[in-house]
Amino acid sequence: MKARKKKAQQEVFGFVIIVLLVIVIAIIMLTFSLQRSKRKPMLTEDIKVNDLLSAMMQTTVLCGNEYKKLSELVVEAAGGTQTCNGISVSEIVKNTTRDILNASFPTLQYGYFRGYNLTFSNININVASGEQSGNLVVGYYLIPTAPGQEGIEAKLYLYYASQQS
Amino acid sequence: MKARARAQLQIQEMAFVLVGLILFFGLIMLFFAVFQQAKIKSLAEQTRREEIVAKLHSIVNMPEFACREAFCIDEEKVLGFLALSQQQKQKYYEKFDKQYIVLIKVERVWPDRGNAKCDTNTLNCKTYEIYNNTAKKSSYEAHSTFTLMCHHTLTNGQVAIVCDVGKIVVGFEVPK
Repeated sequence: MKARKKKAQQEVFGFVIIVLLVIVIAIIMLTFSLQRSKRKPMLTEDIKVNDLLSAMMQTTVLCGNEYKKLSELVVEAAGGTQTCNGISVSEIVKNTTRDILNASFPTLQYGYFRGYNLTFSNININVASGEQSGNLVVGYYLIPTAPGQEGIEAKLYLYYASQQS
Repeated sequence: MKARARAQLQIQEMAFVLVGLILFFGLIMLFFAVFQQAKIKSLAEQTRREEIVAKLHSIVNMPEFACREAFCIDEEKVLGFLALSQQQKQKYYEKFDKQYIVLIKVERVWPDRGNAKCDTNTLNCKTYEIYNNTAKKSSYEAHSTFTLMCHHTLTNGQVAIVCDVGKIVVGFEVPK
């Protein structure tokens, strides 16, 4: 009776070990598959968004009789009531950045990149389009202002699909 | 006799357990190997991408194309490069080949100035094709990043620098 009980205990113990092993293997596999599905931003996207923001801020726009960098217009817009060709500078910055971003991502709705959002510190200019959720990369550009003053931070949030489409 | 049969049974049991254990550890090793392989592959891909980005930036920063502004293509320099003789260009082409580069082109993204190729002047054109060897290569993958494209223009009797948003596209041979 005692020997049979001991054998039964051993079998149950063996069964428990097998179940535990199966659970451990399942957890390892699950962790592995979850790591693969959680896509990290690619290095190129990170650099691309910074390159775009940098190029955008240094692009020139005809303002009156002279060409001015967009970053200069942003500084003027932060200053207040400047106008260019009768249009307010902040309106020009808004329209130009929107045009550049739309030209840069022509397949925004159904392409790899799904949406963007451009913001400036100290100025109420916000240009956004497409999806504003999901995976994102952020570009950063500091526009210098007067010496001793805080610069204006331009941030470009670029949203992209989790899988390459 | 009975004891011998029992001993044989126990040896058999032990053999089965040993085989089971070996199979089990083999399975674990297999999982580990697959996991490591995926890790190594992703690391290799990451390294390749880093190299590609570095190459893209180094092409933009080549003194033959770069302007004084940071990370910018001087359109006049590119036109000068395109005007070189075939023999002079060949030296550059050999260097590109060594780096597995099959295509280099610069496209104007904004403003829209039509779709023409830029062969002789910087106005009203979209694309500068610096190098194209794609016809000879069976497969390649293109990578791009944004850059500034600058050229001089005459406004109200004064020379001004005009900078547009552009894109450099570089095609690389797909590694076998």
